[in-house]
Amino acid sequence: MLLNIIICEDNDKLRTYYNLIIKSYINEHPGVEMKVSISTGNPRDVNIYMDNQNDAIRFFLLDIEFPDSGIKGIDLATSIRKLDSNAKIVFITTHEELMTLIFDRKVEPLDYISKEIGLKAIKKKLYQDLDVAIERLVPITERNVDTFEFGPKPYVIPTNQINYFESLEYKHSVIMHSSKDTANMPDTLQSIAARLPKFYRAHKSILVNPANIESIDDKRSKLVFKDGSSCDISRRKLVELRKHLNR
Amino acid sequence: MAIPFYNIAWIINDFLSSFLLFIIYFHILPKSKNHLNYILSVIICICFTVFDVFSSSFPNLSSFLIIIASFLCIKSKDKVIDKLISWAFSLFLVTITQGMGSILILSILPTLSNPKTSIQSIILFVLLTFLNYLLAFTFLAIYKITLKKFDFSKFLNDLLVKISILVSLIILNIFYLSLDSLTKYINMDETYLKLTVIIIFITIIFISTSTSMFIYSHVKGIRTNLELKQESERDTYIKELEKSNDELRKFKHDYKNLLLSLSASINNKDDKDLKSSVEKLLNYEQINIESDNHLTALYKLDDKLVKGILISKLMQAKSKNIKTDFEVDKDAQIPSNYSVDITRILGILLDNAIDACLETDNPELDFALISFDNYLEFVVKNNVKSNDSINTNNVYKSGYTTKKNHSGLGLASLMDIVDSNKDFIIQTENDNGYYSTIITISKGK
Repeated sequence: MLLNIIICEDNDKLRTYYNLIIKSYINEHPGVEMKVSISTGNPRDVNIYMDNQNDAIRFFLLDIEFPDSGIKGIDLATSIRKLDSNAKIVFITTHEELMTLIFDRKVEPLDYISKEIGLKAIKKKLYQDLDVAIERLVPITERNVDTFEFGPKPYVIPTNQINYFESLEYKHSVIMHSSKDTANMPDTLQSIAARLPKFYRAHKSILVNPANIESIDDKRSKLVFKDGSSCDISRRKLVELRKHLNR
Repeated sequence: MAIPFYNIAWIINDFLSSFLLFIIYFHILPKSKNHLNYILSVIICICFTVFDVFSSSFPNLSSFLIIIASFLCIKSKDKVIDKLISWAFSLFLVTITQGMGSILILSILPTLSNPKTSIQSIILFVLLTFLNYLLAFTFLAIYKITLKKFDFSKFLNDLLVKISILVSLIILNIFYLSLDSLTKYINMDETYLKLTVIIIFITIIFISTSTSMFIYSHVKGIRTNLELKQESERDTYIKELEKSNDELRKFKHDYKNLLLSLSASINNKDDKDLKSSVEKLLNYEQINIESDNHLTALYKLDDKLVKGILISKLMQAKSKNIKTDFEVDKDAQIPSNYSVDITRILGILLDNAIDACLETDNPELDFALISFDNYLEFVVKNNVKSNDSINTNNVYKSGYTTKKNHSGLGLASLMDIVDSNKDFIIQTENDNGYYSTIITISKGK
């Protein structure tokens, strides 16, 4: 897998400096295939590059303001995200007031680097971001990890983060409890169970991930998960669950 | 006391018709469905059948007693008024279907009106029970279909509407039962029974028209109230605009003064004064003018309900000195069919967020409405007290709350709204001292 690095910064001096940082990073990591595909001061070049290259893995380092060009860094990032949902985008900017929620959710940038923190700190942050980018080189959906997805986005979550699904009485939707968040989706436990064969229907209203169970609390009839959260389960079902876990 | 054989058929019929009462009740209020209530209802039915057998002189007295007893015994999480309405409705439905059933049988098979042999009586009561159940379920189905087709549930949520329905149901019940017992007591023949039913139907028509007219006028009242509220929200918006306009004018005024003094200082060549004036001018931007660029998009939002709730909650948060950032995507379009639901959801979420962040030292509340190609996202994000461990596992369960003196119903009713819409997804995250809720709404395909 080749990681293409794209730099777009209108200040020539800074661009050369970023180039140097990235080149040295590449030299220090001979095991990973990387190259600087484009280093430019004109955002139009990035657009042209995006039109020609389709299925490459990319890391973008963008400035937010380009005073000499009609294109804004934000619009550029939004169009990049539209074309490539796996692109890693890092902003390097003086305009921190532009870190808005809308922008954050639309572009989902990997990081913001403020130019004011000094060249050394920029180098350190850039190194960290490249580390993360390499770690996530293979997108989550293609990794050898089971995932579960839902919603129009779609929202993708590795199944090993899911603790359990729960349906409330007289409701048409299911609540997913993961170690990261809680989400409600219009679905039934039955159809989710069909999509996730490793999960166990521990109860009429609960579908648990056996891999995430830390312990079973007999006294309070609760299941305790690895992240410390817990869910109630009927005493009667505990016996069956234990049998299932020991298999 | 020896009970003749045909009486057993009558007893079974009596038992089954009281049981029908419970079946209807459980259908109307599904929250009351549980094993304990099933067992209780069977016990109550048996008790009152026995009661009927031994005191057959007051056949209708038991109907009232059974309602009172079941109201006290059958427990569920519904409101008292809902329970009362459901009991009155169930009783009414059972008595009416019973009356209709007997009329039908008597008009089709007049020989059965006074059963002489046990076989005749058994046929009579089997037919009666069958017709009773059939009619009751038909009415119940019609009731459910109409409820689904025309979205009455919103009107039914109003207390006054509920009370008027309850009163009319009680009047109908008493009227019917007393008329029925009167005809039985003086032992008149069937023509009078038929007359009774005709009179009852006329009353039903009268009472239901008057109730629906009353409800209609009341709903109109609710609407006017809503309009008044919107008007007051518009007022606060205008006031806010005036305030920022004032600030701008003040700034212009001060700015001129400062420039004036600056030019004076230059003339005097007094370096110290010059320096301080310039510094004042430079620092000015920090004092008053905060450019709310995102807010213009909020004011341009074309959905009045959603805009209203956002502006009023924004004002509320600002008045409580919460650091706010409300962003609205400039091309966000709210689907009009979800406008009411979104408004209710945002009201609940923003109220909770304001309450939660006020417990911190530097309250922060962010809101964003983001438009994507095929879906919308609402993000409500607030900071929480760091040692506050909100159990996200339970937040949507009815009655769960972290607030003192609160019922914990806000999030549960939010859940009800989300649950009744297939296009809604709600996600909560608790991360790094920030609690955020994201609602995703797919745009219609």
